[in-house]
Amino acid sequence: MSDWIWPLEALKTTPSIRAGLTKEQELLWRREGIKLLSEVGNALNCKPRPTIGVAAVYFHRFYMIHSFQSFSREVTALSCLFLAGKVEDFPKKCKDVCQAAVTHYPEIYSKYQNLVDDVMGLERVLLHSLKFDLHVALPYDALLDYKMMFPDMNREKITDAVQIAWTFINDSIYTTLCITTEPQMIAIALLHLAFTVKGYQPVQKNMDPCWWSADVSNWPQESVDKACHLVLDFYAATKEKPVLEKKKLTTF
Amino acid sequence: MLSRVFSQKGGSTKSPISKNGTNEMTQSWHSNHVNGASSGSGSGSTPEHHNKNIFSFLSRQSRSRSNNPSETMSTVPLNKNSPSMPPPPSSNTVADFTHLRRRRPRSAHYDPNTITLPAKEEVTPQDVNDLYKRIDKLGEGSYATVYKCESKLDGSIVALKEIKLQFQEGLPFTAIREASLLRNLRHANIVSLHDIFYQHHQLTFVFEYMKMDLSKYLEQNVYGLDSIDIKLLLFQLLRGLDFCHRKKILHRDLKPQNLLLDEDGVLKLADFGLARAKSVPSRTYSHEVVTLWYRPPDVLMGSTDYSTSLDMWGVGCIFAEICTGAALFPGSKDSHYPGTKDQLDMIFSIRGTPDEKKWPEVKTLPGYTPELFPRYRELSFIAVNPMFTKILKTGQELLGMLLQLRPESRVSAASAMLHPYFASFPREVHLLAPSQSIFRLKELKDLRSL
Repeated sequence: MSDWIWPLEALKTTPSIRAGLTKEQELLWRREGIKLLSEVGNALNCKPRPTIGVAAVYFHRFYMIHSFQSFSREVTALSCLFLAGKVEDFPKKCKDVCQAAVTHYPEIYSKYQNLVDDVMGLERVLLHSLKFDLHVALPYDALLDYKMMFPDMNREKITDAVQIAWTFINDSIYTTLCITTEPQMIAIALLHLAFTVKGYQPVQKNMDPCWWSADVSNWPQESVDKACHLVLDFYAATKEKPVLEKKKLTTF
Repeated sequence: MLSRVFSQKGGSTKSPISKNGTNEMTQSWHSNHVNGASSGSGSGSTPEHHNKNIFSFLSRQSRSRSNNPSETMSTVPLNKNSPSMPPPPSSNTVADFTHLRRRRPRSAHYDPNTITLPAKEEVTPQDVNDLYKRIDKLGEGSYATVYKCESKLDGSIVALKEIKLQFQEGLPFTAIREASLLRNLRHANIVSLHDIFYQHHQLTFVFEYMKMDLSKYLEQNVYGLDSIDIKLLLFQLLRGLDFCHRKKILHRDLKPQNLLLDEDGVLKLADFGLARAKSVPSRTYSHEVVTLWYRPPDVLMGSTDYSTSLDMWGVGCIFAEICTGAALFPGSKDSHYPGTKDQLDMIFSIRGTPDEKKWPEVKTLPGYTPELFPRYRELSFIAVNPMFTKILKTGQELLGMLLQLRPESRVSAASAMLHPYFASFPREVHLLAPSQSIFRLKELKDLRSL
């Protein structure tokens, strides 16, 4: 069984890109789908951990197998959320998911005559595409383990850093990090980013600055930084142009 | 039977980190400006140029960066063995999704949204009915029917479980959870899910075939099992369950009907997910998990904050049952919640009424009503049934550790396997690979009488 981790090269030849989307367009459409499932999930009291996080992973995996041209991101987003709710023991009725979507994004969803049927139908495609491999590990659990790893750090500082890293993990679902990097490594990278942002020094001077080496060997600083850049790219790109500006999908 | 992934006590959807008394985490960085976020003042043991590298980007024009985001990760970390694509699906089904694809008319102008894929050559799907021939119906419930079947390809025998679908909510989440969890549980003492078919508006699981369940086996042994068989079966139950618990998966419906046996005496956990949830859309944990006779007292009194200890009570009940041939706590069901008085009375009459000094948390349970029960003292198992002599004092001690009223006091599966009750087993039994049966060891193989 695969661990559902793709090499970075695969992101250049996704089904959508092979079907004509540019890399920039696809990245934007991924963000839009994630924004939809995240906001609809919030409206239904779902949390990033675990339901929205799991739904986002399904979404990103799905579009490594199918193209955005074949399956609209707006319906896939709802099906991923609906399915994740059932898998994570926090099920929502399909009609409630669809009602929340129409309420929050009327311009996107009002045109669907039978949205419930579309979401249900796509669930079947999802299950086949994901091969019923529905259990997803998220970075949050690994992050909490690292909280105990820095006994020399001030307790308030480590709590602060973990909280910031938690927020970074929430936002990382808008990137493709979850399909290129294992959850534990995402936790490491984003905790490292939190330390850097706050100027915290997690290790003593004579210790290995790569504090994660005990758990993940041969993961150099530069690779950790590159993972951080995916999240930083998202912040920079959406600072000027928020995802789903005016609650409309982009068209090209 | 529900299995679920559990996490930290107090709820799986909230961070245990609190700030100003609240557990709500900021959900997006954009709404949480932290001091230092936009400066390059980071310091510490990390090399200075790396900090600059991260922050110099923040001040750069986004277009120059986001145009080629994937280019920034030119190397794959060496420790990752990433496949280029997931392997082919394990299911032989290739479903036709053509009717679900969105097709738009081509317009005069070039528009990527109107791109249509060239028609793909569809692989003829293999029909589950063409692959398997039904031999017998093994059982039927409200939500599934199980058939003994023969493979038309190689003659092997399997068990097909056909899930009845209710169309209101798509696939039932219990089936989704069973499929999801079993795909990650490969163990000699857990039933193997070979394949999944989703066709003809029906979901079919292909399981390895097992001869019978423990409940049926007990019907043939009304005075319980031999002492050695008790020990062999209990150890396998604990072994499979420990594997689940290490993966943070609770079975949540342990009972003899869900424990399968083969001709060689191998026991396997089964039925991970078909129990009916109480309701949708609230969270599905509830006091309705676990069949009544095997439900622990904390859950009977309304606790929803359970963990692996839930399953360990079930193990204790089963241990007692294979010893005597009869359920230890066969209470009757009342019509309202917490209408579990009879079940609780059965439990307390043997294990004693809760002692608030030993179990202070019991006072917080919504269904704790001490005035409804007589003051019971804990009985020895021999006093309950002389047949408990079969398991000797060590077995009775272990049984007591499993059937602690207080969930935190119940022994874990891992610790139970190390209990002196199993001292006669060879040490190597703890070193077997998960996929290896305990009967791989000659000493245990020779003990079998099933």
